[in-house]
Amino acid sequence: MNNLQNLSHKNFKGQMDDEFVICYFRKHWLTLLPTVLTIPIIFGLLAAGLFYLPFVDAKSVAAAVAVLGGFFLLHIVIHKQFFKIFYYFLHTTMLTNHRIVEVDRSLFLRDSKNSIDILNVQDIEKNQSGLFQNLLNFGTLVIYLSGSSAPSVIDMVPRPEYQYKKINQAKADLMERGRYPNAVRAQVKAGAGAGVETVAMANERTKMAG
Amino acid sequence: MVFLGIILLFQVISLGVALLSVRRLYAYINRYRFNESVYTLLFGFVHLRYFVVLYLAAVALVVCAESAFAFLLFAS
Repeated sequence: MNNLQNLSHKNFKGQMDDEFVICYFRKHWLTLLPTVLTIPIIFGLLAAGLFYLPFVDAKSVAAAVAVLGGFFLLHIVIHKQFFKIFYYFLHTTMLTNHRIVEVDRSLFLRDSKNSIDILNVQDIEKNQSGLFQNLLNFGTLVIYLSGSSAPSVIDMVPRPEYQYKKINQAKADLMERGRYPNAVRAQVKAGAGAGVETVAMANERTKMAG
Repeated sequence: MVFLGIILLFQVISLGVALLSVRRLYAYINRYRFNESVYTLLFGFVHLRYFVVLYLAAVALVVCAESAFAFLLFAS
């Protein structure tokens, strides 16, 4: 994974200069399995259709329209299935040294991005329940954010234990480096936090005292 | 002849869409590159380029097969 950091160009649009990708993942391959399995079926149907084509009465307009419709449908289905596969490859979730970024991109219709600052991550929950999830090693990561009501849910995560550890590690590293959000700094300056003091606030207080 | 023309039009559009898609895909993945060999290959061994080749081959195959049968059916 270290060689990712050595690449001169960026890994996603909007990447900051001091930001590097620690790890990244796509959805589990199980999400793509139905699409991949559909492709041989399409070709089977194509072969069957072409086999019966010589028996079609070419002078009948209805038959010609049906053939035309079948051909049109075939093109649509093939492009659609492959676009789904390309979408699988383009839709990535990245953990950087600053944030968790979900790049939801398709070839033509979608280009969205959702990012969570690691310092806003309050808690992470890893769910892996059921036979298939444990057997095929995928699950759901639920990220609880500080000061936010709705947690962020990432489903079909491959190797969730690894991602879970990496996010926790990235958060610990970031806090160690002393990059605290302005909110924490403001709280400390205002003398808040007498009741419950977070690690970030304690560190910031020590740093300011020093 | 009209049907043959419509089928050829479909095929030209289909080939165009395929080429444009591959061009956009490669423009993106070359710009924002990842080391794909680490662990995110599909099923552990399937590269994206395999699917690109399969996609182009599939579209080409469909176009060829349709053209052949369309000529047999409608050109006579």
